[in-house]
Amino acid sequence: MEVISTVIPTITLIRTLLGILMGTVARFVTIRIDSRQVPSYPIGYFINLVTGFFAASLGSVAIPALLSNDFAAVTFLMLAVQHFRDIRKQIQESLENIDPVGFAPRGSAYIDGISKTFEARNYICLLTSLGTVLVLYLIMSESIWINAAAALIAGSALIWCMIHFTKGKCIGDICTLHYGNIDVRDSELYVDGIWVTCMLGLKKRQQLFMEQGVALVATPKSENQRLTLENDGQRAAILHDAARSFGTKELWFTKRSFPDGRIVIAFVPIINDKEKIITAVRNTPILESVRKRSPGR
Amino acid sequence: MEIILYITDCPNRVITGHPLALNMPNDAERQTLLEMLAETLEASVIQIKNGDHIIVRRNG
Repeated sequence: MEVISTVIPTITLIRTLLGILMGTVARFVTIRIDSRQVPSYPIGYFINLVTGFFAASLGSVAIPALLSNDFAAVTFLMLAVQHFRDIRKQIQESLENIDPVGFAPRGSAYIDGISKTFEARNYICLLTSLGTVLVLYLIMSESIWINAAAALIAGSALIWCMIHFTKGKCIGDICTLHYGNIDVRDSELYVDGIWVTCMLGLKKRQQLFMEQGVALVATPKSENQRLTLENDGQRAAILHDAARSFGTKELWFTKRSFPDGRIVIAFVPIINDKEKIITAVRNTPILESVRKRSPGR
Repeated sequence: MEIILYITDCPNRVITGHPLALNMPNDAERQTLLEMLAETLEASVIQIKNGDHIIVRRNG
């Protein structure tokens, strides 16, 4: 009677584990805990590491499963894709629910961008582990150390390539930023001569804005970049990033100047650190949904 | 953006309907009311060129 061995060979197990490790490392290096607080720390951070681990696990078992004629592995990959889409929807819903309770709303364009990024990072995990295990199977070495070194090199190269490919630009890349001159005329607010709002009808608020308000003026580097900078979603994202990091005392406005394409971001911060505010605004990501490529492309 | 209240010093501009329009010629009294409502409702106050005030609130 033939006995079917169900024990996984040690080298297969090692290759799979190395793939899982590199995939999880991919998620670890792509999680950024900064002033944007997405994901939040520590719960959101932990959730993302765990989902990254599972994505990596699915990616790394695909090659050994296919080699053992188990074509169900492809189905598992399709399930993973569906699961990542669910993660995107979940993050989108969660951010939309908390959007009204922040200092300034993120806006649907920014939320869409964040949720897509989360989905993409799970694909990075999956593809890193899949690619790493594939390289280990191509090398076909029985040595643990050669496998470990190959996994490190292949995994790092894959992570670097995919991060480089999915990396977007920042606001600081497409415009110059400076603090504008605040001028309150009755209930109207002007920044560098640009009319911003007439909502300063209370003397108390006029005084508050005069004393503590900050107004950043962004000037696009070219006409083409005006399309990105003047987009409502992009302006909401800039204001949100500044307000999220430094707080606002009720008053926050954005306005665009039609003749020259400058935009104004004006608010009264709770923490008034001008250097850090300008850095936060400069580091606001350019939203993929509003990004404009060269005409004709 | 929602208009909550219109305050004027001219009774001719007070027309019934939505939003509520009030005639308040006393400036000090009006400022007190505006401040109180703006703080309570987390709303903004617009002063238009004829001196009238509008209380507005951002939706969402």
